[in-house]
Amino acid sequence: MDVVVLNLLRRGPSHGYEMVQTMKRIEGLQIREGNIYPVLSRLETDGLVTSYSQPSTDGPPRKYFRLTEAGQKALDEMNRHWDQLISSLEKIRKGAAL
Amino acid sequence: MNAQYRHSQPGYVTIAAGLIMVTAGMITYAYGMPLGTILALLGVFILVWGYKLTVEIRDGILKFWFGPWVFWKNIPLENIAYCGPFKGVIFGWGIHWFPGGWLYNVSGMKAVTIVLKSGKKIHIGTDEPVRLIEAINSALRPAGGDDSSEIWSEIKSDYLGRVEQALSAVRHPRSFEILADIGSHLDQRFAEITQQQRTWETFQKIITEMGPPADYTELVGQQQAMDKPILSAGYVITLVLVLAAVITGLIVLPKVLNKNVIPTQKQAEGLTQHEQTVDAAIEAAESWLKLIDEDKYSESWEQAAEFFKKYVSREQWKNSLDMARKPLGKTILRKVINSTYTTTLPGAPDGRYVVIQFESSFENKQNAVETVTPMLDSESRWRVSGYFIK
Repeated sequence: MDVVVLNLLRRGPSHGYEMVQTMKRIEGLQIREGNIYPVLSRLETDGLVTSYSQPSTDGPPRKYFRLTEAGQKALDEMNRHWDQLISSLEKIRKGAAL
Repeated sequence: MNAQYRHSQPGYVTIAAGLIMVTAGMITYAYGMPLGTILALLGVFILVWGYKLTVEIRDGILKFWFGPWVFWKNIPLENIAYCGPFKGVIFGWGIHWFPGGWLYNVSGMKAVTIVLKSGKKIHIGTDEPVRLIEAINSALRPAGGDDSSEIWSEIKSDYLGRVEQALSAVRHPRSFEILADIGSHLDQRFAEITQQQRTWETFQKIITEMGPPADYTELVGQQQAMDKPILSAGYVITLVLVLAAVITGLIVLPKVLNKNVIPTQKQAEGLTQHEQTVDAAIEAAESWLKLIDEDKYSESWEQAAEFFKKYVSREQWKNSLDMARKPLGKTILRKVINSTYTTTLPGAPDGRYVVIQFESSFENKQNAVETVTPMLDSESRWRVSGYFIK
């Protein structure tokens, strides 16, 4: 789930509710809505994301999250790993010589 | 009307502080330090005043008070503009000024901030901030016969309470922030459903979609949950207070004890010698006074110290007693009221003296103070070197 949240934030700052709505629209990424908050909390404690408050027109201020420099590096590493994994899996599925 | 919300937070810190002060006060008072009484009374006041902080919402008023009802404050809900989590670091307990408003608390490091329409801020300490915020916000919603809002409020509060409990079980350091985020998320979900959709079934569906409370403890990560120091800031401050009291006691008490109560063996020997010295001097003074009581003035001069006889002749002494002592008549009562050992006296050579004061009553004078000063002579005998009647 970390890699999903970090990739969502690569597009720009976002708040938890918005990220959940985005994930709900993508097949296979539906999650239990509340689960995103402990994940965001953990990523923030680890220094991969940072949060700030921004006034909202339809309620109390919203808490936005954005990637930190460390988060960007971690995400690059995670994406490389995933790309490698998917590529390797594809090779196996296509019966490439091992 | 029943209270919409009522909760009392135990004041562990104030109870600890009060007990320490009472104990320290009693000990210091027992060893003759009058300030101990004030300290103990202050401790009792803190115990009664701060053993709990109660917050209640009833009849459109938010009330909170310390202890049984020692200090209280009423805030009409109509005066509240916003209510949210306290953002800051709590550095003390009781009633104190915090940037932006007064903070009222008895324990813990959590509080709720209430912003009044006037712009003033009030911070109230609590051990269940999420539920309190939810209760205040629920009470702030305009009443319009909308039962669904109340049902939703109860369902939401119950869910947040269960999540709070789950996160507390793993001592997660950022549980408060997570709960606030979940609360905002639920508010957003509620705001997006139409009036017709606001049914118990819809609310349950939203809660189900949020996920079970147990999920949160898994997702925060076991390692991170354990990263929280076992001793939180509150415990550390309490520990420091207790240690400070103990160290102060260890520093002050031995001094008090050495001075007044339990002498060391060496001091005990010295004390016994000193007591014996004073007792011998008193005995000598009483024997000498008996001579005067029996009008044996000449003999009393004979028995006096050489220093005394050097400055006062026998005749002068007899004349003085005839003038000052004889008119008083027979001695009715005499008791020692003070005795002080000294090696120096004004106008007298250095030596070993005991200044003894007697409270005396004579036939013709009911209240008199006799001051007799025996000194130890070269033959180690106590002899009187001075005598005054007042």
